Amino acid sequence: MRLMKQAAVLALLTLSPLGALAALPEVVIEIRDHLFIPQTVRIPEGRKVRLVFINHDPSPEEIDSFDLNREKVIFGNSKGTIFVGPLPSGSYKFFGELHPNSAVGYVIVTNEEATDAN
Amino acid sequence: MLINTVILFIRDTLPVFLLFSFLLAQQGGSVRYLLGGTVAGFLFAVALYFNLSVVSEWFEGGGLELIKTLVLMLMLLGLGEYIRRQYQGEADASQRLSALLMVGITFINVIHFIIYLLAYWSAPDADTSLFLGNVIGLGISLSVGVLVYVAVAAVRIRLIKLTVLTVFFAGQIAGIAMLLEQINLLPNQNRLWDTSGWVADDSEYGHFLNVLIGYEATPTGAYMLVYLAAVLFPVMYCYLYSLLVGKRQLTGELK
Repeated sequence: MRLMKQAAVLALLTLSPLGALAALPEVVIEIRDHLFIPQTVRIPEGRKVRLVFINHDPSPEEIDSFDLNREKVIFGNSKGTIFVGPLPSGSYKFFGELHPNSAVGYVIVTNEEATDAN
Repeated sequence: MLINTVILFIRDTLPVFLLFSFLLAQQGGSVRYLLGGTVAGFLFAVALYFNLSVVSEWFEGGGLELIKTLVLMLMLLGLGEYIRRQYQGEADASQRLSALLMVGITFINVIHFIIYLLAYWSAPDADTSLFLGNVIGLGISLSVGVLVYVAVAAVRIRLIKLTVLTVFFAGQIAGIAMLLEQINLLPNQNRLWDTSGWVADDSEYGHFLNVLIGYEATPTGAYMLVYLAAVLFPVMYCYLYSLLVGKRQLTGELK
């Protein structure tokens, strides 16, 4: 019985992030011709947000951000997700490491109600 | 493309050169074992590259992060045993472990450069720029590696050499926190402080210090926790090992 209780607690702990995952606000950023579209996205202050990058180029891109402490490879014609936040208000730069001159974007964290996160 | 190739080469291969130097400077450091580990790690990284599009889709897109986390944790375990053997004067018995550590660090770092290299090999302006960028990057990484080797090899006290190695390793291991935060397996936390006014992460010093000691201008609590745990791990490992061996000697299992 005790073992079952422990297993149930473990299962709840394991599955709880999945429930939270579904409720997270999401922003989609597309990569076309080594450019981020949109280049600037606005997300709410103090909340975790899922940034989904869809790479329409045939070549890979490596999303890098010193401000957000994130680094992720997005292969050609595929997508990838990065979780960011909760963050204080401000501007956070990210860039495509393989095309740092063209692929540059900003996450603007704001306390305004209207953001790009759905 | 030339500058970018140089930057990416240094960023992705400098940890390999530094670990090579740190391990070579330890007692019983063997070029043969370290080179063997580096080549094996490179081959593993190439193998991963050809399966990366599938692997990266595992665990809701967190496959690569989880593989890197697993490798880093195994490396930490290996470091504990390596340091124990070094500290107890079993330097010859630690050579295979040093090769394994090289496999791990090469595997997790070089994969990013392979992605860049193979993806842009066929680009129209790639031939000269890629070649030159690699040569320059190799020259810089080699130079830094040699300097670090000379500096660490000159240290006479073994404990200091091992401490330097551990701090370097802790910087690599602390990356686990960021990997897990990125794929939502760790709750994101507030930044503990912000020293980007002194040394920014994207500055030359920031890059170098990041590779050398795991410097982050805006670390989270999880990052610092993993960092400190990685620094203390070899000490705990050696302590627990001595307790275990002492107990087995007492019960007669070991002579």
